[in-house]
Amino acid sequence: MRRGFKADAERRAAQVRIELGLEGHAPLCPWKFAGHLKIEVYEIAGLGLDPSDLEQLTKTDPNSWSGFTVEEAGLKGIVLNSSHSQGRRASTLMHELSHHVLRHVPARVDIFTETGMLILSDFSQEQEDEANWLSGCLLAPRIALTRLRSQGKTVTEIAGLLGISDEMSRWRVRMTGIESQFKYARR
Amino acid sequence: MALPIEELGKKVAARRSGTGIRAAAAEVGVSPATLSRVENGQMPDLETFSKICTWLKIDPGEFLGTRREEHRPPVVIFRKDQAVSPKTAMSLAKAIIATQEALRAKAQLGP
Repeated sequence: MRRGFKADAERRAAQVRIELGLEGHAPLCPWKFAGHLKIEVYEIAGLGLDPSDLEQLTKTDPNSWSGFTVEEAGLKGIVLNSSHSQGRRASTLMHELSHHVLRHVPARVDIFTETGMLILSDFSQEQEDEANWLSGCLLAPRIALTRLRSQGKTVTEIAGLLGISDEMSRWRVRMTGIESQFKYARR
Repeated sequence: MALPIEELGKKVAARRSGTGIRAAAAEVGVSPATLSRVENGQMPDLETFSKICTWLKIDPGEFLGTRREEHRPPVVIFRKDQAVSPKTAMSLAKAIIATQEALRAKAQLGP
């Protein structure tokens, strides 16, 4: 990740909350943020797919994909895997929104062939790392984590309060160094 | 005439004949598991596909075919495993088309 990106991501997370009239430590709903960015969000179960396709994507092989973004007719839409938990879908959505906020440009390929081959655009590892980090800051900014940990909230309680998965909560508490900070303060 | 996708796995198997999967994967620049999945007919992601075509010395266009929509093709970005089964890929393709239709309908309605 480029130098200064992490600090910049925290500043962006704060700026977004200001734009949305939220306090710096308040939860940020990714669905509301998508509305703010004028991006449509769909659940795969709401697209009117044939039952066999829906079953393939949500029951037979639900863990092979999390979501995708489509640009069409000047609009951008994000589709989420309805079979995933609310927290996981929040992470997926915020990750996709982060690519948009960061104006990442993917490699682009025309995708369909008569043989049914599916070749998709994707981002570089650096872009993925940046989107991961920014989405974490947007969902769980350092200021919110510090506040909640100082109140003695557990990782699971923080996840519930911020509307994120336990995994995201644990990752953010660890990666921001807040856990070590509190351990040191208690010495 | 585009090559069918099933040919990709067969071409990989033919190209590495006599070479172990690990050595071949190292030459391609992907993991042995990824190369093995492609050899068994799974769909590669863009980066893997590109590396395999380079290794096979094949123009990716030979697999991509020529069917194009009249309008600008969509940009589709995925969060998915590096390789998905052909059945999942087909269902995802249909989901992309459904999403395009939903977005077109939304664009016609206006803000």
